[in-house]
Amino acid sequence: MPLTRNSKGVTTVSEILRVSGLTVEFSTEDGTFSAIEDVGFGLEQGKTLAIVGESGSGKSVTSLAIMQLLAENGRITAGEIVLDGENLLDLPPNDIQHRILGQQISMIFQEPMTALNPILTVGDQITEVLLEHQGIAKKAAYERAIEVLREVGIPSPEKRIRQYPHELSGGMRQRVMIAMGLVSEPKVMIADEPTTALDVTIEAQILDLLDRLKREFGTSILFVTHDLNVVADIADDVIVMYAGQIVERGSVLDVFEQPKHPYTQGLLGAMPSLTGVEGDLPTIPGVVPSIANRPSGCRFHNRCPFAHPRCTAEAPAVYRVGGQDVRCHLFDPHRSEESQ
Amino acid sequence: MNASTGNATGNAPVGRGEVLLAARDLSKHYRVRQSFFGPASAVLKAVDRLSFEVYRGETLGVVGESGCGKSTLGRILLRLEDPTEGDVSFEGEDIVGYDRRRLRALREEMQFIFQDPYSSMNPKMTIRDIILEPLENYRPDMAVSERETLAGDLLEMVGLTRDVLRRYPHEFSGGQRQRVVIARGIALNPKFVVCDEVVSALDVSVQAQVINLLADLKRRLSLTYLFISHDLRVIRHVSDRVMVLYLGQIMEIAPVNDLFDRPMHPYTRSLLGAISKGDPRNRQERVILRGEIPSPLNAPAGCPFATRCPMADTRCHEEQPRLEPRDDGRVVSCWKV
Repeated sequence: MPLTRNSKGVTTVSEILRVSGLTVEFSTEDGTFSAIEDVGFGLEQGKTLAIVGESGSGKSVTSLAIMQLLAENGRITAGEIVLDGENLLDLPPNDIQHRILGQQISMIFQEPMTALNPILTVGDQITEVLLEHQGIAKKAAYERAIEVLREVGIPSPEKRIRQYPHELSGGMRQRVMIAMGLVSEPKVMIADEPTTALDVTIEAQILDLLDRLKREFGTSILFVTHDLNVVADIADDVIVMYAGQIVERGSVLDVFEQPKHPYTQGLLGAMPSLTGVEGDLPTIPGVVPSIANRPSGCRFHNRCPFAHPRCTAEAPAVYRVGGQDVRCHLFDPHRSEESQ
Repeated sequence: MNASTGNATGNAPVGRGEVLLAARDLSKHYRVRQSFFGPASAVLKAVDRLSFEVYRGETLGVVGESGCGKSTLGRILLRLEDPTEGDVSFEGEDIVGYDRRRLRALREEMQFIFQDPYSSMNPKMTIRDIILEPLENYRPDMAVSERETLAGDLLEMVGLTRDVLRRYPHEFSGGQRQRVVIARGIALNPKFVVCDEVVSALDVSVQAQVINLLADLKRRLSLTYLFISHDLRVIRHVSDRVMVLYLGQIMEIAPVNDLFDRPMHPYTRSLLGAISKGDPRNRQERVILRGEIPSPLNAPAGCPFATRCPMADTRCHEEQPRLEPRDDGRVVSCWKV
């Protein structure tokens, strides 16, 4: 069991990944902007942590930063990414490439067709990581690949292993991606919108598979999504991001049943219900601000029904409220009466 | 009998009202070359023998997975594509035989709002020109000042401001572009609007705004919608009745509450069973439907759903079921229910 300290200095025994103070900047023609700021969380062994947010929230930048897959103009300017006791940002690039990525952390993407290599067979792609980094003999690697394909529910894997990505359906391709991510038995799997491009009946199969991997192999999953319904089904813990910051963090039950941040409340309210509610849907007015136009103070203040003068002027700190961490002035225990 | 299902999208009482549009045995089959050098042998049945009505003032939701034919259906109804077989009547007139002149007139009454606003907009046109394009075609004699006023009115109607008329699509967010496309769609004051996945690409907070906007416009302009979406939650919220498609065929049509509360067709049941309840305390076992949607090129001989249906028997594999009307106002195509 890994021993790490979380941001509050409390030692926990089960955290496999701890991200703290993570800040990423992008340089563009119009200047330098921080895509995410002061992002921190812990992922526990054998748990699924969902990062949920709308476009521009920074959820994907967070996962790409952990995988060190940021675009050329992106740079981590602060923070730590501690995997099983090692800060990845202190390791030489060579070490990251050969020992960490694909080995201890792997990633699956939304659109497997663009992430898979179209000119390599399924078998070549799955065994690549084993042959390159683990020095396993080719025959053994292929046997392992067949075993993994079977684990992710691909029928007749001996045949599939010789096929190319374009010969597979969308659901099968996503299973191949998961098999690739799984073959090295990583400690952490990052899944970025892995079911967003799939039909609902296929999405159900893939979510079921990820849940089974977590239970049977103890894989820890960081699940990045815009879809709160998927979060409700698969996550143990949730992080809600807005405009580059975490605004709320807590267990999935707490966040869904007692959302604290006005943005989380707005998001949950705006989801159309399956039980059929008449009338207009509750909405969050306005739009998500672009990276270049983030408001001063609290970044949500111009869309927030509870905003008061302090929210425009001062960025809120993070407060512990019940089981959650919330970035909102409303929960400042010392807040003065006139600001209420 | 009045299967009243008053709903979020407009408050028109919907039951067996006046039929605005009716389709009879509507099919669109494509001949497809299966390999580059091979003969043009296979037939792809994008939609196959669809019969249904759309009542004036209702929202008919159309739901299904990839390859079910929902987008093809919308295009055929608006005569953007010709059906290979079958009839479509609009306000009692058969429109499949319309010539170009009459089609042109028809297109004032029927509009299409597309899924991806960015790719359906010319990036070099201003918002004013995009919104006024249909008017320049259909109302050439309208005075420029009058047009300008109308463009501004339309923008305000969809929740934008008049001062954006001179701006370009790239200056807008996805939700704002969708509003512009909606403004263009209602510019000619149509009666019937096909909305094809219009909120699918939008963020949750913006999606809710656009759904409310469509409901508001429907009430104000007495519109009738055919609302195509793969998202069952959105379908539940906006529809008065729902049509479920699978591999180009109708599985079930029912008033929205009946369909969601008491789905009859095994495919409707599987579809509803596969989606999350959105409640972490109630993570009931999803109904995991085995297998995948067959290619429409090799559609099964019998019921299209038979290859995945938990109830299928020999007859289902051999013989196609017919759409049978039920007492409660729904139609179902299944041998087993």
